Amino acid sequence: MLKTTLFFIVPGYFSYGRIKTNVDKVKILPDRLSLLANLKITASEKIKIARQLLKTVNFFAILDNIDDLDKFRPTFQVTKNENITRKDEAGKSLSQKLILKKEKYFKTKGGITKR
Amino acid sequence: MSGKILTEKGISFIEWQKRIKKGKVSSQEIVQYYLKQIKKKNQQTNAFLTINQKALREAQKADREISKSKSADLFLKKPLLGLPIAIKDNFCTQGLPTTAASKILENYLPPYDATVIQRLKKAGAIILGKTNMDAWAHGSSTETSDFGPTHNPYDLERAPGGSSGGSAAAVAAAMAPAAIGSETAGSIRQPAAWCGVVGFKPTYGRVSRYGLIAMASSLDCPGPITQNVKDAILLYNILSGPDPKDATTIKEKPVLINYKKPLPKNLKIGLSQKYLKLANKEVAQKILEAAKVLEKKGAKIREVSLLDPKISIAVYTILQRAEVSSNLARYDGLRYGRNRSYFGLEAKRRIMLGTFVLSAGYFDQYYLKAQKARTKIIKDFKQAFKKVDLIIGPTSPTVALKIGEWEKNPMFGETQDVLVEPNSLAGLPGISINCGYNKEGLPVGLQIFGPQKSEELILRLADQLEQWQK
Repeated sequence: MLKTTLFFIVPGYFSYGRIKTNVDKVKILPDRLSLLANLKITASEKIKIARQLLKTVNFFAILDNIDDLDKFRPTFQVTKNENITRKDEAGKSLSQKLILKKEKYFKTKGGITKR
Repeated sequence: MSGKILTEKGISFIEWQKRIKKGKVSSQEIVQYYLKQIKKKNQQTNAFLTINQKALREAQKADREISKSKSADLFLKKPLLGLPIAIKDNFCTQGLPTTAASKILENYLPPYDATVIQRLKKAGAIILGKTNMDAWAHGSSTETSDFGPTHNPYDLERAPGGSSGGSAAAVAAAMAPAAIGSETAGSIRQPAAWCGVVGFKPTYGRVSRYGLIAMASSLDCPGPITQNVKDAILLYNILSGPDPKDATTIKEKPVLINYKKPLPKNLKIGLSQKYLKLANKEVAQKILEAAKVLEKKGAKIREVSLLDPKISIAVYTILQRAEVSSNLARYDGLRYGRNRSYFGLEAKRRIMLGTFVLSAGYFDQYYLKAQKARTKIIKDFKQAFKKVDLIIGPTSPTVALKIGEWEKNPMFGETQDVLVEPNSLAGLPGISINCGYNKEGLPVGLQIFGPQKSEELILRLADQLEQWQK
């Protein structure tokens, strides 16, 4: 594993076909990302992944070309399911006395066994 | 064509159903036939990862049930009684290995059945085996599987598409009469197109995701891969409907589809030049030929203006990677399977990009922006469907590509699925059917998609078009 962190700084101008856009500088920090993602990556994977991530992130600049994006609210669920939880309803339950009387409710194997 | 061909015109699900009902064939004979087919062809195709060793025993049980039953309702209650089916390896099957084609879950035996499996079993189906796929469904060629790639039965040197490539190849090579796949954006329809079979993706939430190994939860959707549209209708009628175990399922019950019902008159069908331009010439030509068939039969073909599908590549990549990084966090080696060092390069790449777009400072720049663009895509389709009933187009920009192509492009899957990603992001239902072959004899897929919950119209039109093209 490389001990140093690789920095890939993207210049502020990208092109995709005829689309050209300005985006802020993007830093891809493979070490930091692999730490956050709880992944171990080899030195060769690190270089490969960082290059590919950069290429992919560059492509996202296409979204900057959509002028009216701020007019739209974000969509998290496409079929608009709402209020999926029901209201709590208290049901009948056994009394403490009854529960303690009936052993079967508490029949479990001991957690600690004698040696 | 350079590779060996293993395709075979198989017997459809509905045909087997008729024969079994009439007592012309037993379930054991059907299962034995497919087990032989798998033995003969799996070494070359690698379509199956696991064979259900109990399949023959279950077939015996089905035969006994058929012979004992005097009720005419038996096949109404169990329409798939005694029929074998292949299942993509990311659906939990009780007691049968479920790996998602990853070494992490190599020895994982689920303690329960996915809702899709429960419904198939309730309908009498027999699980024939589990099919190969891109590991964790990450890919569009079934080459990222940790257990080796699947080969396209039309040309073994080509990929079958993915991620449900094993299911599509199994149906195309008559190793199974039908199969179940799952789609995030194109994983049912694109392999169906590349293998010359039918792939149907219902509206998001029509079929329960309970027990489906999660990839991108706001997009994942199970669906059938079959030899013809009628088989897809049969399976869709069984699989669809609300499920209390999946809060994202659509609450209303879906309409049971009757393919005998005539199509509405003056059906308006949209065709987008932007979609055609992204496909290669041979593929675009076949789509235009199919449009002519539809026009000849009375449909009105209209040009529809849609957003550039390339925008969806960015939106899909951001959202899918973000959800992947979150969903795959559970594989920590403590609760399921092996530790995270067993993740393949593709999974690592996706998890890391997902972590990146969700990280502080980049969340608004990427994730939130993509979610807003998703709304714009949804609204764009809503506008289009005010003018037309359904839209047709190519399923994939190309025919099946050679094995190894995916490694050249870190966004291979996204570019291959560019024509189905927009409608998947909007949760729309869609189908891919075969609409001919290119000069090399490779199948070309045509997609039909419509507004949310328009499964009935899509399937009926697809069924008709399939007949008209014969």
